[in-house]
Order: sequence, then structure tokens, then C-alpha cells
Amino acid sequence: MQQHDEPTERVSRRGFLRGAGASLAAGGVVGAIQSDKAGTATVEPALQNAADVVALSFVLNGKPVAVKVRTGFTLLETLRDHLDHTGAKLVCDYGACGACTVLLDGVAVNSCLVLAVECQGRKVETIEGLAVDGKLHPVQEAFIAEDARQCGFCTPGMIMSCKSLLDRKAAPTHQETAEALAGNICRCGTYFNIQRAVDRAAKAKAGGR
Amino acid sequence: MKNFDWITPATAKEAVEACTAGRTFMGGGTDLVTLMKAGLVEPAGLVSLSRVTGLDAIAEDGEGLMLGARVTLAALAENTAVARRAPAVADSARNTATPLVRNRATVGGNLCQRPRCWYFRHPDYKCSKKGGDTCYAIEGENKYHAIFENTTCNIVHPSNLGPAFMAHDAELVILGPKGERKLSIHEFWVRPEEDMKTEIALDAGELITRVDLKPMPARTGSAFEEVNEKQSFDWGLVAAAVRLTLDGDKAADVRIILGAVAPVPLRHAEAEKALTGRVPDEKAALAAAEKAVEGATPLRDNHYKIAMLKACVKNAILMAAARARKAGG
Amino acid sequence: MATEDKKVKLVLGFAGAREEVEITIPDEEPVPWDLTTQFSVVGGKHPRSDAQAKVTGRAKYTHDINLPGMLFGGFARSPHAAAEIVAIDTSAAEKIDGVKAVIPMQQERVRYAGQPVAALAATTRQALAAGIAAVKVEWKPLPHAARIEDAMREGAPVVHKNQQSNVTGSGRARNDERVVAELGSSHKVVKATARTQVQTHSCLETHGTVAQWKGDDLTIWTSTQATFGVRSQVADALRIDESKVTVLCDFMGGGFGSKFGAGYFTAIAARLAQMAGAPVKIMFDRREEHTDTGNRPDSIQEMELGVSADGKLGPYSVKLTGTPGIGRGAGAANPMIYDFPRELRAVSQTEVATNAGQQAAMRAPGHPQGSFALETILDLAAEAIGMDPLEFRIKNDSNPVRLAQYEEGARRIGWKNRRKNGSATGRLRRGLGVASGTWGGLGGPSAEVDCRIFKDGSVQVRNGSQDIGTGTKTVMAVVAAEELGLPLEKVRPFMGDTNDPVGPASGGSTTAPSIAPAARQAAYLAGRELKALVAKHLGVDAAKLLMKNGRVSTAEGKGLSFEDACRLISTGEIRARGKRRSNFKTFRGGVAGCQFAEVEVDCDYGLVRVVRIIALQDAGIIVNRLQAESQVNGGVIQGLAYALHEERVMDRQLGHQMNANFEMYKIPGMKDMPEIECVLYDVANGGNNTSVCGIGEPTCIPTASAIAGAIHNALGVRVLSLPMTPDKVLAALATKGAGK
Repeated sequence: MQQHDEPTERVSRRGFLRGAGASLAAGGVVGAIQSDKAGTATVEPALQNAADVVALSFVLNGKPVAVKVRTGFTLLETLRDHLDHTGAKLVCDYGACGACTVLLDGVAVNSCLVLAVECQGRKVETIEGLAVDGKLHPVQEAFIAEDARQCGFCTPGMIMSCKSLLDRKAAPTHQETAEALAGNICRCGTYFNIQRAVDRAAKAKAGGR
Repeated sequence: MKNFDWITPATAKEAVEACTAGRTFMGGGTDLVTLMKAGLVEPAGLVSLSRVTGLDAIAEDGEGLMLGARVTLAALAENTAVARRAPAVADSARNTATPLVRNRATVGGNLCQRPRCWYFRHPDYKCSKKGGDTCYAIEGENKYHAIFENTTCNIVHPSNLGPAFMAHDAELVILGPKGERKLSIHEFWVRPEEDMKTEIALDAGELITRVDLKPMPARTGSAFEEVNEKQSFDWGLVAAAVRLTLDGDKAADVRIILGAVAPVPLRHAEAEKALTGRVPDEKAALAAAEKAVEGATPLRDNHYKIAMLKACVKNAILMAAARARKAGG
Repeated sequence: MATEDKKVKLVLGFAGAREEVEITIPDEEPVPWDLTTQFSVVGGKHPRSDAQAKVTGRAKYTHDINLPGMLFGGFARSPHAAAEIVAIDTSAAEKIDGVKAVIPMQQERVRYAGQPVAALAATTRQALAAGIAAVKVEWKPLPHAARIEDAMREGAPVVHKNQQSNVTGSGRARNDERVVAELGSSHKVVKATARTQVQTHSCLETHGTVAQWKGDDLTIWTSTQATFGVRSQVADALRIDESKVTVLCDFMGGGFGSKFGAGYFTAIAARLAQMAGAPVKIMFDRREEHTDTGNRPDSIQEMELGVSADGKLGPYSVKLTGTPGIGRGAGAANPMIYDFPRELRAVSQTEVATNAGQQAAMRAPGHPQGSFALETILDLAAEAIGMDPLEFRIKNDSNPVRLAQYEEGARRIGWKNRRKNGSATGRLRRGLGVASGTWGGLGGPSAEVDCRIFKDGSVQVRNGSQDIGTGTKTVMAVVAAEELGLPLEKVRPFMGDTNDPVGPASGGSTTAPSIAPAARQAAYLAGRELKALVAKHLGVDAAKLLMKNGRVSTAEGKGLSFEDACRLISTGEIRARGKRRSNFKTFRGGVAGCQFAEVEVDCDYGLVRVVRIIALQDAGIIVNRLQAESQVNGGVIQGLAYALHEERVMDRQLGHQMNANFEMYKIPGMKDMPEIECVLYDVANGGNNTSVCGIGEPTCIPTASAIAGAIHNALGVRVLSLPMTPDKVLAALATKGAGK
């Protein structure tokens, strides 16, 4: 298991997990982090007292990871700042551009709007995990062949949205592709190439079966 | 973002018990997290609904459709029962936000989301909704603001599901510290004149757990139509939800609800009356649509909404009528 | 090496018009490519050299640099559009847990909302936010004018100190009187005022820098369009030797003209890092990116055009007004194309200062706004004399490339089926439009490239400037591979490190045409050294050796494989430097293009759907067809965004930008896309040894104008203001009374 700690800092206790103990006392309510029945990762004990950080564990690209976060962290900043997974990008910080797209339990989401603490025991897939043993995913291959990016900043999110689409639909129509990618902005204007890349990847996946 | 308590109860009852003063419920978080990032809300604790059992089901029986509050908009948009039994709801879910947001955003959250007014969302404007004494939209940049009921506050209610639910006379099941209650969607909205601080009639610590939709009568159709400047993701400029039943070839039991044009979704009795008893063709639809825009009080930059809304209502009526004709019974 | 000049004959031009030209070039220059050159790599469709890094998330942008102990830097900013700073107190901020350095940015006053007043560095994002919130400023708010209309008004608050008015420029032009007189005697005179909006660059990677000191040496990672410019500006700002500064930019996430300068934040990051004794990363957030990194100025263009009965352009008067915010330079390129009689043009320029972030160069600065107005008045003039707008343009355009493009484009869009303006009926109405573009884009000095051939037969080409996503790295590699007769994958390109040879700022579409010739010459000179080794080894004349298909051999086949040839290298490697020289006698200075648009307008809602764009573009000799097409698509899509969606909205009350996000600042996505047909013209311009030209900019110029023309055709009424949003389309329809 990888273990990542927060960068060197002295954490202020002020205002953190305010009243966590009280809520537990209120009856029946489980504390900060709770075991997920479906989770495969190590379960961190619920925090009984105000503490510096929350110990979080989840499955990142197939490998269990543990990382200390605060409740105010998003999944995106946790991946980028604390797990050195910088593929997903922070662009709009508002769920409006899709550059931070990752798959959470297989579902494409804006990781800038997901709290890190929500991910306890869950599965997170990022662009870094798409290639298997150095072999690129058909979507990645297609993005290369069709020049489906220029500056490349939208690409990790765009590819994750495409992957999610092709997981659900083997041969999406152009309209379905456009609908599925409507939350991903490419400022360089490579949508046309991306459409072709999705077509190519769908064909490649079909041929591979 | 500031830190907060993170509570993950297993039942709705536990969730309500945990949601003490200063805390708030979190469904998909697609609106809440943006509010927290902007510092517009700073909850001391978040009561997550993610592990609460029974909130994510879409159930269908003779009594109609029951939508769990945590059902995502994506699930709603793809559900065949919803498409069949409440087409306006399916339309509105499909046209909300982006596919990424729809994967997280929930039925309950869509009803409880805060306005997107750019003055409300901007940290440097203390508008009347934030305890200030002015609505900046009146004199300011008001292209996207309200054209009805807009004397004190000019937000438009951002919920797409709201108008669609109103077209289907939805009933909300609400759990609170005092127990469960039911509330008609028509009674759910709060106008700025009643309470500037909120848009909805939930008391502190209350949680929507379910939205119930009664079955549609035979030969009934509904539709939700929204106009967006940009197709890939945009807030509606105007919207309309319509439901009607065909009595012979005439429209009966009509619902016409206007969205994105007032601080709350507006049910328009006059427009409904104008259509009732008439064959819902282009001419009748236009007549009802003209009624719907009567009395608009547009601001400097949103006069265009009148013509647009008129066309939108007309098209929603025609779509609902077409569906009613196709519907069995 | 001999340095005698040599005379060479070249066939220049394009398929539609070839021209033989003799030029003299120095001996160390390869014979320029022309229309007769047989290519093996150049002109193919090649995936980019850095594609794999980008699709796997491994590409490290400045945004992605995480260094041990790195601090987060940021700014406290003004909530006022104009205010005096009475006092600023950072002592509370300094006491916040985790805040490691604070720099008050001394100022008497601020002139736009969001102007920085203090910089901070802290251990976490949360500590930084707390620190920023703790900076106490005592403000004396001043009246302001954040919009051009407010700043032009009589008695408007004056933005700049010591000035009487916000308006500079007389509004009078040379030829004014003569043009007025000639207008009076023209067959027809058309008048129109066109308006364009402020557009922000909206780079996905925001502006930002990571600064790290090691002793006296400073390393800067920065998202920039000018690594060398940043090096000298930072050295200058910090008063340190340029030799101590290294600027790195391996990957960058979009600039579009806004990232030429180091920006105040880069020197600040270095100073914060120095104070804190730790590396500092400053990345702007989305609001900062919109409000404080530049924008395309708006414009108000009042035009009067006289036209003859047979459709020739006559006297033309243009009064241009625009706002550069608190900066300078808000011109529009109007007119720029078409054969206006030179002495009958009266163009005046007025600038209006506003309390808003300053303008910056943006993709074809001045051109899209100029084009929108110019093509508007042309369409109106054609309509006034009852002439087809395409015929009207052909009559007034003498550029041979564009004349060929008009014909081809008309065929592809089906122009002959175009209906009369406004004759379409019903809810959905279609229309066709056409517009033109021109650009320079031939590049020039200074650009140098090193070509290194290693003993094992591998090759590098290196330049220290940046690939901003346009594919310059790949262009270098293709050119060198062609020259050395190697497959593309044998040549590895490197950019983005100022310890490599000097290169240009990426602007004016000049990067590729500046660097490609240097890359070619570097490969040529390195290859010449390799040939000399082979010639000596085999006892043949070096001048007879060719480098082709991975071999160094004579035409008869006597020679070695490239790998075997490289084994003859005794010095470790061959390293040669190519230098970009000034342009040769060129076939034509400009880069020609035009676009045709088909739209469908939903008259119920005033919604414009762009159905199809045909983009015809002079592209020089095309190095990599795949990425040349991507450039065209990108230009068209940004042009479409400019036409229909993007607009900075400033609040007239408090002077903030209301849509400084990606929610209300509208950038189109996949569902807003038309079909794009891209027709590239290989033009041997003879400007340099490769005839490469840049097409990043020209392709975004005519799109909005062509769309406007198509809307005009569909509705029979002109929308005179960008973006052409539903409210404006409905208003235009209402004036015509054709809304039903």
C-alpha cells in the first residue's frame, strides 16, 4: 500500500471537525469516516476527537492508497497535490469544463466537485490508470492517431469522458458522442478530431473482441 | 474550502437527527460545493446522504412513480418508466447541466439548489438575498434575470425539475425533526417577498426523501421545453413545462408552468384557461402562450425573453399535445 | 566551409499559378523547397511527437509541477474598480498558521477590480486563502467606468491620473475631407456601425509560475509563449544576471496571445520563494484568469462606403473606437483586405480607457473585429447594388490564391443554390455567407536550432522556445527528418528550456516559419558533416551524396546506411546549429484564406445553428497535414465562439466582471459544433528554405463574418453586434417584422 502524508505543515486544529464528538453523542450517527460495505481498502477508524487530518483510503487505478486529507479537500486537489496524480486538471473549479473528469466507481464525474472524504473505500480511475502494462487504451491510441488535442490540457478529462461513453455504448452515434462530451471544453477547438477519435476507438474496440 | 464535520448516516432518520444547527445535507454536492468554494455558505457540518438507504430508487406502481431524493439526474433521464409516465420530467432531466454533473446531481438537490444570479454568486456583492438592501440586477446587467414578479429580487429559479414536477402535480415527502410530512410541489416555492433568504419551504433540518408523481390519466401528454444560448451546457433563458389531457380533441386539465423567468417557477392559470376546451393546435397554443407572457415586467436587457417565452410555451404545448394524441386510452 | 553564394531557380506559387524565380542564397543554406520538391516526410499526416505524453497524463505542465516543500502563492486583490489605498496592513496575514511570506504590492490606487495589492505564500491552499482574507486594506473608493459606454460619457470618471478624458485620438483621419467629398458623388453609399465584444483568452491552463532557487540560480517553470522573454524580464525585475535564470516550459495549456510577458506573478513567485526559502507555485484561478491576464478589446466601428454601379469599392471612411482597459492598444484591422483605393480610405482610431483589466494580443489581434465590420459593410453594399456578395468580393480582390479559393469554396458550399437575402420562410431558415482573411505569418530571425547526430544513429533537434500546443516540436522533427532522409520517429525534438538555442515568442503565427528553416539548416549542416565522413570513408565526392530512405549514398547506390555512417563519427556526436535568416524574395507577403458558412436560424428563439463551415486556407508548404488541419479547425471553432457565444460582461455598478467563470462566460462545446471542411492550399512562397507558414491566426479571422453573412442571407436583416446571441437575433427579426 502506498502511504502519502500531507506536505510538511503544522495543521491548525481550530475549526476542524468542529463538534464531531457532539454529533456522535447525539445518537446513532457515525463519525467522520465509516467503513464501506463494498470497500476493499483498509478502513480507517472513525475520528472520535477533533483531529488534524482524516485518514482516507480508497482504490486508485486498481491499487489501494491511503492519504491524509482534510474534510475541505476536493478529490481533485487530493489527487493532484497529495497523490502526485496530476493528469486531471483544475481549470474552472466549478464543474463547467470537465478537465478534472475521473471515474468514481466507474461513473464519470467532475472531481473538482467531489469531496475527498466521499471517496472512502471507493474506486477512482484517472487518466494515469488507463494504459495497462504500458499498452494504451484504444481511446488513447485514437486520440494520438486523430490528433484529437492541441495543447493537451483538456485531454485527460476528455479521454475519461470518452472512455466512460464507450464503456456504456459500443458504437455511439455522433449525437450520442456530442451529448456525452457536452461537459468537456476544449479551448483549442479539437472537437472535430475528438469525434473522429471516438469513432476510431469504437471500431478498434469492436475489432478487438 | 473550509473544513467541516463529515457525517455519513445510514438511514434518513439518522440523517435528520445529525443535521443539527449549522449543518446541512449533502446529496450530489454539485451546487453545495460551488457555494462552499465561493464562501457563500460555510456549514459547520455536512450530513452526507451517500450511504442513506432507500433514497436512490425509482419505483413504479399503480399509485404512480416514486423518485428517491438521491436519484441522479442521469438515472432519471435514462429511466424508461419516467419517460413513459412523466415525459416532461425526463425532458427536463436530460436538458440539465452536463452529463458529468448529471451523474452526481440529485432530484432533491435540483429542487433545493440556490440561484445562479451572478450578483448572488459574486462574493463582492452584498445583494438583498445576502442580507444587503439592494437587488443589483435592477440597474445592472440583467440579461438573464426575471421578467415576472421581479420587484424586489430578480433571480430566476434555476431548477429544471421544478416546472416539470409542477406539470405533474408532484408531492414531496419530507422528513424533519418533527416527523414526516407531505407537501405539494405547488406549495414548495417561497417568493422573495415572503422570505428573501430562501427559495423553498423547507424548515431547518428538513430533508426531502422522495418525490411522488401520480399516474397520468389516459390520453395525456407532457413536455418540458427550454431555450439555451449554447447547446453543450447552459442555463435556460426561458423554459416551459406543459401537461394536458385530451377530451375528445380538446385540451383539458391543462398545466402550464413557466421556468427561468421568475424567482419561482410560475404556474399560469390564465394561460391554462386559454387552452382549456380548445383543440391544442398552433393557433390555440399561440393564444395560450400570449396569455402566458401578459403582464411581463422586463428589465433593460431581457425584453427578448417575452418573445422567446411565448414561442417556448407554444412549442411545449404542441409537444405535449402530440404526446397526448399518441398516448393510449 | 566555403561561404560562396549560390544561385538557385525555384518554382513558386501554388497549383493555380506557378512562377519561376531565381534567388541567391549563401552556401550554408540548403536549396529552398518549392513546388517541384519530392517529399518523403513533409506533407504527410503525422501524430505529434508529444502525443503519448499528453494522452497518458504524463505531460507535466507548469500547473502540474510539485516540488518538495513547495508553497502555494497567491494574491489579495481589490474589490473595487477604482480606489485609493489609504493603508494596507499585512501583519494579521503574516500571523496565520502556514503563511510563510507576504509582499505588500505598494500602490496608491487601484484602477480595476481584481488588481493585486499583496502577494502571499503559504504551506497549503487553505492557509493561503486564510492569509489572503486576513490582509487588511483601508480603501477610499473612487468613481469608476468599467464599460466603454460609461467611460465615453461626458463627465465620466477619468481612469488614468493626470488625464482630462478617457478618450485618446482625434477621431480625424488622413484623407477625411477628400473621402467625404467622394462619398457625396458615389453611386451608392452604405453606412453601418458594427460592434464587437471583449473576449477573454480563457486558456485552460491559467497563467502561472513555479519558482525555485538553488543558491543564486533561479529555475522558473512557467506557462508561457516566450521562454526567452520571460528569462530576460525576470532577470531584469530581480536585478540578477540572466545567466543565472533558467526558464522551463515543457508543456503549456494554451496562450492565444496572453502569455507573452513574464507577468508580475513570475517575479513575485521568485521573490516569495527567496523570502520563504522554499519553492513557490502561483497558478491563477479562473476568475483571475478572466480579469487579470488580458483580453481582446471590443470595438465600435462606424463605416461609410461608396460603391460604383458596377460594384467597385470606392471611398471608405471608418471611425474605430475600442477599449484597452487600463492598457494601451485597441485597434481593429479595418480595412485589411480587398482592393480599396488607397487614397480614398479614411481610417481614424480612438481609444477609450476603462477601469478594467488591460487588453493583450489575442489570436490575430485586431483582425476578427476588423473583419466583422468590414465584411458587414461589404454585404450591405452588395445588397444595395443588387449584386451577389461573392461576386462583389471577387470583383474587389486581386489575390490569386483567394480567387481560386472563392471558386472552390462556392462549389463546395453550393453557393449557386443560395437564395436571395431574406427569402427563406418558416421557423427554421437557412443562409450562406462568405468572408475573407489575410495574414503575414512568414516569420524571421531570431531562431536557432541545434541538430545533434549521435554515433548510434539517433538524432535530436533542440530549440529553447516553446510548443504551445500548435505542434512546433513535431514541425522541427519533420523538417529535420526530411533533410536527413530519416523516418520521423528517428528524430527526437526538444523545446522549452532556455539553455537550448534561442527561439521566438509564439506570436503572429511566426513560430513554425521561424524555427522550421533553422531546423532545416541545422539538419542540412549536420548532414553535410556526416556526408563528408562518408565521402572520405568511401572515396566518393561528398557533393554527390544524398540522404534518403535512411541511407547516405550516391544516386547510383554507393554508400552506407545512416546508422553505419554515424559509426564514422569520432567526436561523440555531430552538432550543428541552424540560424533563421531574413526572408528571401517572396512570392507573396500575405497568407490568404476565406471561409464559407451555412447557418440555420430558429426564428422562434433567435437561435443560430452553424451547419457547415468550409475553410480554405493558404498554408505555405504543409509540413504535417494532420496538425495543419487541426489548426484550421481550432481557428474556425474559436471564430464560431466569438461569433455566437463569448462576451465579457462588466457590471456598470461596481465594475466587476460578472461572468469570470466557465459557467456564464460561454465557450461552446461538442453539441455546438458544425461540420468543418478544411481545404488547404500548398503554397510555395519562397520566403525561406522551407516555405513554411503559420496558420494559427488567419483561420480564426473570417469565421464570425461568414456566419454573420449567412444569418443576413437567412433573415434578410443584419445583426450588427457580436456575439450574435438570441436576444440580438430576435431584435433584428422584430425590426424586419418577420418574426412570424
